[in-house]
Amino acid sequence: MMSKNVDVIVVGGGVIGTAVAYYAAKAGKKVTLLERGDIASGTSGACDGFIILQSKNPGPHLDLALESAAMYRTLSSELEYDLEYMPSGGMVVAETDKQAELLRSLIKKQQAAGLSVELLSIKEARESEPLLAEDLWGAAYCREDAQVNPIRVAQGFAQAASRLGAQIRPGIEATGLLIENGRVCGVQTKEGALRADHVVNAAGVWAPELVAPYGLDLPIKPRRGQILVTEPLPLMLRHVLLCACYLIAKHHPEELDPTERQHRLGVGLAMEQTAHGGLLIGSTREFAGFDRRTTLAGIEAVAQHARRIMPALATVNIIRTFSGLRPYTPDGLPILGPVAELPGLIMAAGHEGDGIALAPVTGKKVAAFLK
Amino acid sequence: MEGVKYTGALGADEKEQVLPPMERTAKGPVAVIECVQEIPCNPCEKACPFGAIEIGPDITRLPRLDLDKCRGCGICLSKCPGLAIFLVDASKSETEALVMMPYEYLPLPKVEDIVDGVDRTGRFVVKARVVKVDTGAQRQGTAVVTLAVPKEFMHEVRSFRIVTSGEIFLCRCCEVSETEVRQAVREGARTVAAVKMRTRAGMGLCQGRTCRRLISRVIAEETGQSPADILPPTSRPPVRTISLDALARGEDDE
Repeated sequence: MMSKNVDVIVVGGGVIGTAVAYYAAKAGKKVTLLERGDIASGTSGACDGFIILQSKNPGPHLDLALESAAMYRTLSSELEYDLEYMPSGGMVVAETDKQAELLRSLIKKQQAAGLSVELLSIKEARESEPLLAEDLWGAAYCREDAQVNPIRVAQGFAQAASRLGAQIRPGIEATGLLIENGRVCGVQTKEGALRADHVVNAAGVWAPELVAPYGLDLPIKPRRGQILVTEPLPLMLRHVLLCACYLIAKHHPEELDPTERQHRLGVGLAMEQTAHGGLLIGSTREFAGFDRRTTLAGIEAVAQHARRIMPALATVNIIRTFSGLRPYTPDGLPILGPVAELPGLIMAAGHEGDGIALAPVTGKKVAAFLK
Repeated sequence: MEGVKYTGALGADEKEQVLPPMERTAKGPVAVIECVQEIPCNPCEKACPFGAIEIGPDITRLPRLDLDKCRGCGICLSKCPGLAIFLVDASKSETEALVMMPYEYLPLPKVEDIVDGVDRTGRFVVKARVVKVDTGAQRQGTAVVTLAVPKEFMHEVRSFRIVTSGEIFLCRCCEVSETEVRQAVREGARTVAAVKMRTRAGMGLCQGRTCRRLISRVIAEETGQSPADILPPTSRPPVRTISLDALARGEDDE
C-alpha cells in the first residue's frame, strides 16, 4: 500500500526529524515522516528546553547554535504555534577558582567568536538571580541564552509540516532501508516499502540500529539524563542555569574525580523554570544502555547538587522524575549530512544535549542537502 | 451485574421497588425513597412530621412510605445522610414534572438556569430548568434544588450538571478540558501518554491519579475500544510528592 514515491522520508519524530520535515516541506519537497512511537515520545519528550549558547565550543558548534538561536526568536509565529519560547538569558555557575578559570578561558574564545558573554562575581550574579548560594564563586552570563518547550517544538514543526503537505505518520516504524544499485531509495515498514529519493536518519539514539545492517557503524551511544520536576512554583529562577560541572562533564570528563558519586554519574546542574511554573532540575550523564528508568542514586545526586547551588530549593516538592536518552557522540558534535558509503542517506542525529538548541538549524541545513 | 451493590445506582428491580405509581405522582408531590440496602439508619423516620415514613425498632429495616400520609413537604430530603430521598410531582403541568433533589456541591445553580439533568450514574438525560433553590436554615447545609423536566424523565433525572461555557476539566491540576482531550484523540493520540504529550493532562501535582481513567474513557469513546484496552501512562517516581531536601538526604552509597 505504501509504494508511492516521495522526495524524502524522514525517520524519527523528535525535534530533529520534525524540523527536517518542516524545512524540507517548506522548500517544496514531498515529505513523509515515520515515527514508530508518537511525536516527541523519545528523547525530545524527556529533556529540558535549553537554547544555551555558552555550552558550545567556538567553531562550527557555536556557529550552528548562534544561527539556530536567531531562528528560534521568530519561530513561534512562523509555525503559528506557541513554543513557550522565553529569552531568559543563561548563567553557568562556578563553585571554585578552578572552575572559574575554565569558564574564563572558554568565555575569551566565545567572545572572540561574537557571543556576548561575561563573567559575574557571585554578588553580581545574585542581583539578578537572588536565590543562588552566597558561597559560590560566580557565574558566566549570556543574555542570548533562552528556553523553549521541546515537546511543543516537535509538535509545532510536525503540524506546520503537515499544513505544507508533509505526511506525518506516527506509529509506523522504518524497519530497514531499501537499497538498489548501492543507493538508498526508500525504507521498509511493516505496512510495506516506501520509496523516496532521499532518506533522512533522524532517529537520535536509535539511529545506529537503522543503518547497522548495511555496514554503517554510527558512533552514537545513549547517554541517560535523569531529571526532577517540581510542583508549579512562583518565580524562583529567572535564567536557564547550568553549573561549570555540566560543561566539564560534557567536554572534559577526564577532569572529574571518579571517586565522587556525583562525578561518576556525570551530574552537572541544568535547571530551568518552565512556562507552567515547574522547575526542571537535571541532570545525570550516564551510559546505561537503553534503560530509561530513573535510579535513586541518580535523583539523589541531582537533588544534592541542586540544593548546593540553590539552597532555597530544599523545601520545594518534587512531583515527578524521568530520564531521557541523549544521543552522545565521541566528539560532542552531531552527525549531519550525506553519507558517502550509502548515497541517498542523509544523517541528522547525535546531538546529545544540544538537540533542542540545534533543531531549527539542523532542519534547515539538512533540507539544503536535498537537491 | 446491576443494582446499588455493583454500580452504586438502582437497577431495574430496585426502581420497581421504590418508585411511586403514576396515580400518586399525578395527585401531587410525593417522596421517593431510593433506599434499598438494609443499613442501620433511621433519620428519615423522625424527620417526617406526618408519620408517613416507618422503619421501626430494627433500624436496619428499609423505610416504608405511606403514600396517603405523605404530603410532599420534602423535609426528609435534606435529612437523609445517603442523599437517597427525592420528591416528584407530576400534577402541575401536562408536559413537565418537578423533581426535587438534595445537592451538596458548589456553586449552586440559580432559578431559571438551564442545566444538564443527569441520571443516577451521572449520564446526561435531558436539559432541565431550575425552579427553586432552597438553602434555608432547616436544610442544615444540604441545599434542595427543584428541577422541571419532561414528564417521561421524572424517574430518570436525579442530579444535574451546571453548564459553564461547555467546559469540563478532566485534568484539574493542569486545567485541561474534555474538549481538548477529545481534540487530541481526534488528532491521533491513542494512549494516555500521547494525550499527555499533546495536552499536559496528567503532568500536574496528582500525576494523573485523578484524570487517567477519565482520559482512558474518552479515548475509548472516541475510538470504540474498551477502556481496558487503552494503554495506561508510564508511572514515574515518586508516588507521592516529596521535598527536594528529603530526596537529597539519602545515603551517599549507591
